[in-house]
Amino acid sequence: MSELPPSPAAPAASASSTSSSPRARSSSPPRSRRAVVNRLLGRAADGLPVPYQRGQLAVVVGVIAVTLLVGALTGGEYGYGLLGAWAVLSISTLGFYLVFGLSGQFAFSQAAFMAVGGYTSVAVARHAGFLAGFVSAIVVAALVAALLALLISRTEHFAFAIATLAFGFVATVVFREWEDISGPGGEVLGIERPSLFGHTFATDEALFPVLVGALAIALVVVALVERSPVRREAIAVRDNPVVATLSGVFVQRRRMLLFTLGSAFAGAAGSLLAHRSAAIFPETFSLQLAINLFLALLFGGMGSMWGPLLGALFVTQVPERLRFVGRYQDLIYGALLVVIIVAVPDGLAGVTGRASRALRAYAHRRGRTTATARAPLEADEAAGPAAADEPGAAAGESAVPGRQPPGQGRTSGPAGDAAPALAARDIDVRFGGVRAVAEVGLTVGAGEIVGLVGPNGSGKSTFLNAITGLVPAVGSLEVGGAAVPLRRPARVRAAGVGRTFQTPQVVEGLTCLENVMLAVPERRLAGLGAALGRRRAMISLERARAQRARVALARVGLAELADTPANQLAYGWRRRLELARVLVAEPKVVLLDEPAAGLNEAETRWLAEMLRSLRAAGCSLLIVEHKLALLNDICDRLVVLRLGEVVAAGEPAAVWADPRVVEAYLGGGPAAPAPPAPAMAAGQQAAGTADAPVAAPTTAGGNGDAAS
Amino acid sequence: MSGFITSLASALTQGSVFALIALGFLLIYRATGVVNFAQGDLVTLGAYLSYWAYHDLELTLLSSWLLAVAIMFVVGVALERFAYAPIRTRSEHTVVIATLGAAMVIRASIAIWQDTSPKFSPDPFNGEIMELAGARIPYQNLLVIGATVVIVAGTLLLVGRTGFGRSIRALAADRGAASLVGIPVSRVSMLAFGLSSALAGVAGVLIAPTQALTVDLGFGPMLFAFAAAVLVGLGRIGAVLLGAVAIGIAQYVVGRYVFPDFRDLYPFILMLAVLAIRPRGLLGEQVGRRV
Amino acid sequence: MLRVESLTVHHGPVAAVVDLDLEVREGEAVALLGANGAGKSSTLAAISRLIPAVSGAVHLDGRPLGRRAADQVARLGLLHVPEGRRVFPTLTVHENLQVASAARRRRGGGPRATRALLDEVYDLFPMLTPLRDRPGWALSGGEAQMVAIGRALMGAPRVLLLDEPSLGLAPAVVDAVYGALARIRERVPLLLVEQDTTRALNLCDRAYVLRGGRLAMTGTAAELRDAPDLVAAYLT
Repeated sequence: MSELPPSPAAPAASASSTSSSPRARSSSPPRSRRAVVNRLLGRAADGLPVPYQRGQLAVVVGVIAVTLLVGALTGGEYGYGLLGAWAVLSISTLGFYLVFGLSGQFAFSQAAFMAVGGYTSVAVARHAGFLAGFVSAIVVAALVAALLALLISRTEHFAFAIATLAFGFVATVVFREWEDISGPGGEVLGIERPSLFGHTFATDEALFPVLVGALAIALVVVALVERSPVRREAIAVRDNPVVATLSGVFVQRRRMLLFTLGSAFAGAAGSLLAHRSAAIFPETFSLQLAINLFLALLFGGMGSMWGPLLGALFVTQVPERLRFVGRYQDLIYGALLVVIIVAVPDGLAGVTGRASRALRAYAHRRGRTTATARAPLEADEAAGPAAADEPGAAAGESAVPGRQPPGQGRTSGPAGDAAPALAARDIDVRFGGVRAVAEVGLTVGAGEIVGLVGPNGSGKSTFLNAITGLVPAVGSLEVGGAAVPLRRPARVRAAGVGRTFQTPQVVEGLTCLENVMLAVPERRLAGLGAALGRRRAMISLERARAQRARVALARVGLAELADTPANQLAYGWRRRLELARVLVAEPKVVLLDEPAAGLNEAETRWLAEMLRSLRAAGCSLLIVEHKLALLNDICDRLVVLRLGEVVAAGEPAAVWADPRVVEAYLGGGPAAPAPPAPAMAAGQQAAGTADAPVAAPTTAGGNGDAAS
Repeated sequence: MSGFITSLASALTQGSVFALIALGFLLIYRATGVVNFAQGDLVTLGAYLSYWAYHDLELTLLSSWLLAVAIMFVVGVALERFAYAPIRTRSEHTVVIATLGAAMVIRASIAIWQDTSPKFSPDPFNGEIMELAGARIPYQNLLVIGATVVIVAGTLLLVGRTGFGRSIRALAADRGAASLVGIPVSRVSMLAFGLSSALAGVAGVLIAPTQALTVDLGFGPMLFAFAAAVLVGLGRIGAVLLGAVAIGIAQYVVGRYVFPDFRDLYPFILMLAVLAIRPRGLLGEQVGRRV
Repeated sequence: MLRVESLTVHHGPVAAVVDLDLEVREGEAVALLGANGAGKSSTLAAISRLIPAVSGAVHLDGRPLGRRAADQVARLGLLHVPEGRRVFPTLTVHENLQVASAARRRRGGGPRATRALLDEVYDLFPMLTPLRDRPGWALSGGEAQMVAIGRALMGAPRVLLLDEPSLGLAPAVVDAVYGALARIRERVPLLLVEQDTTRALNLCDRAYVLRGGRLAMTGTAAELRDAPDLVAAYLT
C-alpha cells in the first residue's frame, strides 16, 4: 500500500507510524517535568487522545479511600449496611454504564442479570462455597447475556428495549416457577454469608471491606476500558454505526462485547446481593430495580464513569430517607425522579463536569490570548481555510510532487497496464418497486479521477452506497483486480475503499483525533483482552495510531483541533475530518459524495488541490459532484448517469459534447435554456450560469490544462 | 373442543385488550418517536376512575365509563404538559425514563386514593354468558372484541386520512419542519397524548369488569402489548391487531396445552424468536436508507 | 414588509450573528450572501424562530413578532424553506403539501383555497404531478427542494425565507428551481440565502453580505455585480 506524501509538519511522526511495532515506543519521549508529573499521576498521555489524559486510576484510589473513611466514620451495622448496598448497586450500575452509557444499548435486562447471578451463585455456593458461587455467577450471567445479545443484537432501539424487558420478565417467571433451582415461589432463605478462604464475614461491618474490594475491581476494569480503544469503538457504535462500520469496527461484536461485560457486572452484583442479605426473592429483581438502575445512571450522569457511583448513592439512600412519609414514599420518589430528570439534564456528574470544563476553558483562554489561531468552532466566521491551513501549508508543497498537470503524462481512460482500481459491473439496486440503479457498470483505473454526474435522483449516491455495502445490491465488484463481495461493508473497506458522505458523517461523541484513530487500519490489540491484560503493548499501538491520525489531521488542516469534540465542528470542518478519516486508512480508492457541496471558492480550491495530491500519491478517486468546474478541472473521465443508467462516459470535453448528456443533465426543460455544453468544455465563461461562478477562477486555470 | 373454543375466545379477548393498549402507545410513538411506559398504568387509572364514578358518584354504568374516558383525556394532556413538554428536546432515553417516573407516580397515587384491596366492577350484561358449542363466553368479552375492531379501524382512518392524522405524522417525522409550515405543534402534541390516554381509558373500562381491579391491572397487559407491537414491527398501527391476536393465542391457546405454569412466557418467547430472524418484526418495512 | 433589528444569535458559547439589521420591502427580493459559517442560515432560522435569538426584534408588516413560537410566526405568513429541505419523509408529496395548509388556518384556510393553491404549486412544478403519491423519503434532492418550496407556498406566504435552494442540485434542476423562484418573486417578497452569488444577484434586487456574523456590505444587486472582486473578498 502506498504511503501518502507526509506533511512537512510531521515527517517524523509519519516515519515512526510506518514502523508501528509495539517496540516503537522505546524511542523514549522527552521527559519534561510535566511528563514526570503526569506519569506519577498515572497519565502518560503524551500524544494520546483525551481519555488517556484523565487520571481515572488516581480517582479510583481516591474514591475507595473516601468510601472506607466514610464507613469508619458513620460506622454501625446500619451505616455499613447502607454503604454495602451502595457498593453492590454501584457495581451493577457501572456495568450498566458500559451497556447503556458507552455503547448506547437501551437495555432493561440489567436487573434480570442480577437475578441470574444471584440464583446461580446461591445454587453453586450450596455445594462449592461462596467464591465458586461468585465466580460462576459472573460466568453464567456473561454466557446468558452473550446468548441473548446474539439473538437480538440486530434489533432496533425500542425493539431491543422491549426484548430485554421481555427477557427480564421471562427470567422472573422462570426463577419463580422452576422450583428445582430455587425454592417455593422462587424464594431462597438462609443463604450462607460470604466467606473467603475459610473466613466468614458474618456482619455487615466485616463484609464491608470485601464489598469495597469488589467495587474497586469493578472501577479499575471500567477505568481500563475507558483508557482503551474499546471505549472509542463503543462510542462510535453508539453515535454513528455507519461510520463505525466503514471505519472497520465490527458493530455487532462491539455491542455484544459491552452487553456481555456489563451483564457480567450485574451477575457479580447479584451474587453479592444474595449472599449479603442471606435471602433472595424473584421480586427483588423486578422492573422496579431495572428502573432504579436507569435512574442511577441518568441521575449520576451518563457521560462519565463517576456518574454511576453518585446515582447509586441516590437510589440507595433516598428511599431510605423517605421512610418517614409512609405510604407516600412511592409517590414522592416517582415525582422526585421526574423532577430530577427535568431539572438536571446531564446528571450530577454532568454538573460537576460542566463546571470543571468551564474552569479549564477559562484557564485556556487566559493562557492563549496571544495565540492567533482561533478554533474554528461552530459558527466561527470560518471564512474558508485560514491562511495557516491552505493546502500548501497543511499538506505542504511536497504534497503535490512535481505538480503533475492533469491530462498530461497519464493515460486518460481506464489505465491500460494494471488492473483497474475499481471495477463495478451490473450493479442493480431496488427499493420496493423502484429500480434506483439499473445494471450500472463503472471502472476507475489506477491513479485515475473519475467524475460521476447526473441529475438528482439518477442514482449516484445509491450507487456509492451499493458498492460500499450500505444498501442491498446485486452485481459484481472488483478492487485492484480482486473480487469483493457486495453487501459486506467490512470487506469492501478492507480491500482499500474509503468514502465520504453527502452530509459529512462524524462520530459526535469523540474528539477529532479519536474520530480519525477509529479508522487506522492497524487494529491489533483493540479488544477487551488487551485493554485489561496487555496494557503496555496496547498503549504503544495506541500511540502509533494517534500519531498516524495526527498526520492525517494535519494534512486536512485540522491539527489544531485534534482534541476538540467533533460535535463542535462546523460543516466545512466536518468535511475535512471525514476526509482525514478516509486518508488515515491509506485507501486505494476513495469515493467522494459531493465533496464540494456547501464549500465556498477558497475551500473548493483547497479541495481540488487535496484531491490532486491524493491522486499523486497513487489513489484512485470516484467523485459524485455537481460543481462542473471542479469536475472539469480535476477529472480524467466523466460518467453520466440518468434514471439509474449510464448515458455517457469519456473524457470531460467529449462527454459535454454529447447531445444526450446535454439533454439529460445540463438542461432539458424549455423553461431553462442551458448553456451550450461544448462551449463549457472549451471556454469557461459559459460555466458561470451552470455552476457556482465563484469557482470560475479555479476553473479557468484548470480548464486550460484539461483542454491542452 | 369446548375447551379449545373457550381458550380461543380468551385469546381473542386478551388480544383485543393488548391491541387497544398498543394503539394508545403507538399513537404517541408515531407523534413523538417515544414509547410511553406509563400506558399500562393509565389503563389501570381508567379502570379505577370508572369504578369510582359508578360506586362513589353513583352514575349509571355507561356514564361512568364516559366520564372515566373524558377524565383520562385530560390526564393525557396534563402528562404532555408536565412530564413530556419540558424534556422533549432531550434524548429519547431520558423521555422514556420520565414516562417510567410518571408511571410510578400514577400507580402510587391510585394506591393512596383507592387503597390496594381488590375491587370488582359490574358489566352492562349483568355477567351474562353466551354458550357456544359448549364453551361459555361472557358477553363482556364479545363487547371487548367488537369495540377493539371499531376503535382500531377508527384510529387508522384518523391517522391515515384526516388533517389531524397528517399533522401527527408530520410532527413525528420532523417537529421543527412541522412548526415551520404552521402546524400548531404543541396543540397537536397535547391532543395526541390526550387521545392516547383516552384510548388507555377505554381499555381500562373494558377490562375492569373482566377481572379484579388492582393497581397492577394494566402493567402486565402493557408488556404483552409491547410484545405484540414489536412482533409485527413497531409503529404499524393496523398490523398490531394481528400481532395482539398472535400474542393472545400463544398465551391462552398454546398455554392451555403446554406447561400452563409458564404460559405468560410464550408471548415473549414468540417475540424473541421472531426478532432473532427478522429484527424489524414480521411485517417490518425494509425502508431504503438514504445516507 | 420584514424588518430585522439588531439580531444576535448564539450557538452555544459562540456568537453566530451579531447585531444584524436588515429589511425586505414590499415586492422586493433580497439576497443574504456570505461564506460558509458566516451566519446566514442562523439569521433565517432566528427570524422564523426555529432557533432562539439572544436579542433583537423582527417586525412583519410593522408589527413586532414578539415572543411568538415558530408555528405562530408561520401562521402569520412568514414562511421559511429550511436548510436541507426537511420534507416529511413518511408523508407523500401531496400530503406534504396538504399538511402545510396549517399556516393559513386563520387567513383563508378553507378547502377551496387549499385546492386552488395545490393547483398553483403543481402548475409551478409540473415535475411533482406524477410524484403525488411518492413518499418524501423516496424523493431526489431536486424533487424534495420543489416540495419544500411548494409546501411554503401552501401557507400563502407574505414573506418567504429560502435557505440555499440550489445546494447539491444538478444544474438543470437549479435552473428549474430558479425559474420557479423568478415567478414566485413577482408575488411574494423573498429573503434568499445562497452560495451561488451570481444566481442570487441575478434574481434579487438587493443583497446583504455577512462575514463572521456581522454585516460586511450591502447594496443593490447591480452594484454588487459590478464589484465582483469586492464581494469575492468577503466570501472567502
